[in-house]
Parts: sequence; C-alpha cells; structure tokens
Amino acid sequence: MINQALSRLLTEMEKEKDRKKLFEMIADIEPVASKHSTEEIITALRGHDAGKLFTND
Amino acid sequence: MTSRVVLDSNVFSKLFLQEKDRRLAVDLIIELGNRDIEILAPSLFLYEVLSVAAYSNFSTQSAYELLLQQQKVNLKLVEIDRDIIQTAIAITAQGHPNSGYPSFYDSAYHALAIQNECQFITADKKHMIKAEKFGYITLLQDWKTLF
Repeated sequence: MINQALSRLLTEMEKEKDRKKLFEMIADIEPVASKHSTEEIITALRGHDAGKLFTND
Repeated sequence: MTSRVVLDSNVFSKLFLQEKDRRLAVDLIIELGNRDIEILAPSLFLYEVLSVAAYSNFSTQSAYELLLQQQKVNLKLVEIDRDIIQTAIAITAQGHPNSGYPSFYDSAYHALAIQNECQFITADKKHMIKAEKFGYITLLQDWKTLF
C-alpha cells in the first residue's frame, strides 16, 4: 500500500518535471515569420485539391 | 469532463510560427498539459509538424525535441485502424463538386476524434465548414468553450 502510494507520488513528480520542461521549451521558442500560415502549408501538404482533380477526371 | 482531444498539426505548428493566433495555440497546449488531457493524433502529425518547420526555416531539430517532450507529457501518436478509416471515408464523401471535398488527411484526424468521442481541434475553417455535421470538431479560436 505504501509502495503503491510512493510509486504514484514518484510518477506524479516525474510528470510534473516533464510538464515544467515542456512549458519552458514553449516559452523559449522564438517563432519565425513565414510567408504562409500553418493552415496554408498543411493544406498544401495534404493536397486538398486532389479530390477535385480526380472528381473532374 | 474532457479527458482527451485530437489536435491538428496546424495548431501545434503555430508554436513556432509568428501568426496572429499563435497565443491561442500556446494557451491551449499549456491548458491541456495543466489539465492532464491526452492529445491524440495520427502518426502523420509528426511528419506534418516537421515539414512545416522545414518549410518555415524553423529548426527541425528543435521542433522534433518539442514533439518528444510533448509526448512525454500528453501527446500520443496513433496508427489509424479500420474503424477510423471507414469513418474517414464517410467524411471524405461529403462536400460539393464546386467547394471541394474534405481531404482524407483532414478526415483521418476528424475520424480519430469521432471514434474516441472527443473533439478535433483545428485551425482549418474550410474543413470545419465541409464536415461540421459530423460533430466532434472545434476551431482553435473556440477552444475555451471546451472547458
């Protein structure tokens, strides 16, 4: 019982450490300017117009 | 109570791009971490985020390290199974010849959310318009309505 509680506590502490590191990494990011928005880039990557292209074939 | 969400790569990638809605993405990802909410995404997510980084001249190594840390906290990348694919196929069938049909990629994310009965958070308004009737979808700008 005590071991289980200790194990849970250690897991939670580890998780908290990971969370803190993630938040620090996010805070340290220096975002870059881009000609296109993420939506536009992802849309291009996903080939949105392919459906229309094939439909018209 | 929301315990998991599906996150579009176009939201996560805003962490390293200067965009007007970047703060929304940062706040959302921090909130998900604080609330211990699991982030689900198809494995495709990894390739897309790294591709956006490469295209934008943001360090792909830094983007990868960010992804790895996010995985330690609450990001789970999953392979899409038969049920998810069938749902994605149903979504792609919706649309209009003029306005276009949802892409299989967008639909795979959306189907993953539907199969897990959770929300797909995306910045893609076009997919939202095409597939809103399937539900389980929230725009980045509206994420605060989830909690």
